[in-house]
Amino acid sequence: MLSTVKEPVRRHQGVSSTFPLRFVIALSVLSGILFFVLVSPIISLVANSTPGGLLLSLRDSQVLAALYLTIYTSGLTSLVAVLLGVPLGYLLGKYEFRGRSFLDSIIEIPLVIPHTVAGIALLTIYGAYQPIGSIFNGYGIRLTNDVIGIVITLVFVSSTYTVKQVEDAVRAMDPKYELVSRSLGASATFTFFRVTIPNIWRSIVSGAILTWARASSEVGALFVMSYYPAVASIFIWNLYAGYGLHESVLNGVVLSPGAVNVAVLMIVINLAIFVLFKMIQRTRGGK
Amino acid sequence: MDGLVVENLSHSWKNFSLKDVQLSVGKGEYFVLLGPTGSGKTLLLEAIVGAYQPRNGRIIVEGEDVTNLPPERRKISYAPQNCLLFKNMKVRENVEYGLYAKGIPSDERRKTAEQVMQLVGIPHLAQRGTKTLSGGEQQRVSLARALAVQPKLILLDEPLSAVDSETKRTILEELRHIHEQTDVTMIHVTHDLWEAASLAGSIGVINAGKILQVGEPDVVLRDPTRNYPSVENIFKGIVVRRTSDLAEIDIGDNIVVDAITDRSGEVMLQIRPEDLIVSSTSVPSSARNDFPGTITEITDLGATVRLRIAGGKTFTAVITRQSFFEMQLNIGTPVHAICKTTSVHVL
Repeated sequence: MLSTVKEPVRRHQGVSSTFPLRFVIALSVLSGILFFVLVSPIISLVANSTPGGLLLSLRDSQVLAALYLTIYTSGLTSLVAVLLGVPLGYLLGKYEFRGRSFLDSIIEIPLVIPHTVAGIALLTIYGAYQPIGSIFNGYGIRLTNDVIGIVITLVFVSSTYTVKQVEDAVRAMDPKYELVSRSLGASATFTFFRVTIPNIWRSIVSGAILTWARASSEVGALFVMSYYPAVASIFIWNLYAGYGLHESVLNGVVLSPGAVNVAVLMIVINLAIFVLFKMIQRTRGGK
Repeated sequence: MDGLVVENLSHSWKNFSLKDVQLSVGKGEYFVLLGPTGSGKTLLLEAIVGAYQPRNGRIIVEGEDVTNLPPERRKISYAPQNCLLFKNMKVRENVEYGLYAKGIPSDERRKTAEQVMQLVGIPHLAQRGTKTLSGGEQQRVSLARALAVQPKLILLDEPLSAVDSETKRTILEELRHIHEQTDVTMIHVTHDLWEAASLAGSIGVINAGKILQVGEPDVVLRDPTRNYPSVENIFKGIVVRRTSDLAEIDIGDNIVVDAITDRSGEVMLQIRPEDLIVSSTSVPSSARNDFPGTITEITDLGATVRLRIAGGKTFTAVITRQSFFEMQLNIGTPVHAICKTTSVHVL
């Protein structure tokens, strides 16, 4: 009897019998090339840093200030993106209306234009003598070359990620969740906070992570809009442009802690925050 | 007073339209809206609960026109097909949700939730998360959540579509019990004839966005017209005597049917036409049901023949073509329709 029972077909384990081995090898080689392109610079960067150089960077107040500014402004950007991006993503995801596709395309513009162009565009409106910038300038508030300018720039280049994540989540959510809640006597606002937000929470966190990651890596638009105070990405560029890749010490005086070393610290911080967000997301959303 | 009145309701959505829907459901009635998939029953339910504003028509709940009210002010609880329990809340929190939204104090909330959970039979689930519940348990929680806010009307959208047949039978029984206890007006949407026959005080048949027929279950389900399959041999009756599990059910016109059931009071029963044996004479046998009558209609079904046998009530029997010719049956031939108690399905 046992011999009549067929063993179940196993798929995608080992080399599938439906594809010739040569084909699978060709796919593997191409995949390997891309994998090398993606991973080798990171490994090389870490290999080029030195424990001494990393220590030197950690003791440098300018390095610490730049790293802190990056974490601070990127975090603030994520917060703004969530506060403003969740309502926009919700509206775009929930309602069908004339011009919705057009609006959808508009919010994707920051993803497709060169970032120096984004910086110029921002400068034409938030610059000290431009329409909005001049109003704030009148009250002594500078929108360029300041933390506020950095955040405006970063919101422009990165908040789309939060909006799109929320929009997709709202679209995927069964609208009857909200209908059930309201039929039980809950107002639209109560329903939004007690039913909708908990349903799309994981996507909000994902959007915030992507926004944070994108914001912390921005250089081009910041060069134009808010070069000072320098966030880590600009600070690293300055070190590289001034002193090359590695640390530079002259007669005991540290001229540069090394672009490579600061870059490694930046990667460590980004990865740590990325992992932390992922952990929060998993805890909140459950498995 | 009517529990719900729908007046001239029309609405279009994509390529589908509700056309001039008229409906009246008595207060405290268990009304089943019966229709095939795509007939418009969910769209009608959504109009009643307030998911959208219909193009024309009025919706009146216990005398109050709610057409222009938002869902939260209609006092209509909606229990959707897939339950949609709030996953971020435990069972108790789900049940208390509506009361919480209305600002009811926590001790009062808890007391009401406990009463409702007791009624629905889920007090043991109170602290459970919703992700671990079975289909039947989810349905009970969904029902408890709808009941807790003491609505004027409860809308149940295909509540038994995703549960196995054993659970379905249990929940049917519970729904009947809960309705008796609460006396709340219920509208239950289904495409399942048996569900409709088991529960309904009255049935509305909907198809292609139109209400085709409204009436008592035995009348509606027997009617083969109006684009909906008929149910043969379905009768409303009253259990008049009982010996252990054997019940005698009076279906009117001096006909008493013996059946195995623990139900009492008013019931619906059905006998499949294939389960009726047709005999020219009354023969002594173990079958307890013998309905004498006369053949009034003969329909050739190919390998089988369908007979309509009238004798007070009209029964339908399906016999083989060979038997039909051997017995030399014809319109007007007196016959006996015979069946065992186990062939009588009490719904």
